[in-house]
Amino acid sequence: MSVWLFALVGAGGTIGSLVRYGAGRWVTGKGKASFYGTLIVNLAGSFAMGMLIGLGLESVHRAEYAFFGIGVLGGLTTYSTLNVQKATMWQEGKRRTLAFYIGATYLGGWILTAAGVGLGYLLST
Amino acid sequence: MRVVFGIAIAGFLGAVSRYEISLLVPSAGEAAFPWATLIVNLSGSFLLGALFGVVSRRSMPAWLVESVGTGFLGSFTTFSAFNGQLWELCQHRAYLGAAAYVLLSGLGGWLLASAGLAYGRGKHS
Repeated sequence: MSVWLFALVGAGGTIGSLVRYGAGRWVTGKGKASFYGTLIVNLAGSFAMGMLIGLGLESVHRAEYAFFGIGVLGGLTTYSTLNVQKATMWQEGKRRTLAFYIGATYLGGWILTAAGVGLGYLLST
Repeated sequence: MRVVFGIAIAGFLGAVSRYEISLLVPSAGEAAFPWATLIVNLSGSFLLGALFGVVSRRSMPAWLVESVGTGFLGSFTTFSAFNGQLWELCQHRAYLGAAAYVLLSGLGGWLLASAGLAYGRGKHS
């Protein structure tokens, strides 16, 4: 069971990472700054994680949660890029972009997680 | 094509490593402080900063940078679990823990990313 869970987590991580890479390429291809790609995947992943919590997936369906929650959503979202982007914006003096990015990421992530929990809960009842 | 394969494999390994650490770090249940996620997010932020710092002064193949940065470290760190855990902490009225988690992840990760960038750039800059 343990090896099986690792395989599910890893396969999910592959899918999530490729979607995140694709989103980044799509955003920069549109001529937008690359942080928008990170913002989109992080917000979408937070909403989906909220849904998994609302559905109660972690406690009931271990394998499904390992694949979707830990694997796909963990791989889709990222914190390392976010922090490096924050550090780089600060060093480059892009204070307004930085403020917008931090606000959109943390406030948006929190609100979307809550919205996802609500939707997941509604769907589960 | 090499980039896509690299990210696929590294994304697998990043997610599996994150999962392994979550199993190794003892947790005291749902409302416990999410040490495992904090550890991966902070260390991943430092390492990505260091990678970008190194890349700024010496050339590395693009596929390798994307595989390690976008693939492994992107998948290793997570924003969805961060928001999910923040939600759980607030649900259990662990507001102090929630505030500490936001500060340590958001500000600590930022500082570590800066430190990584400086470390990677080396003494020459």
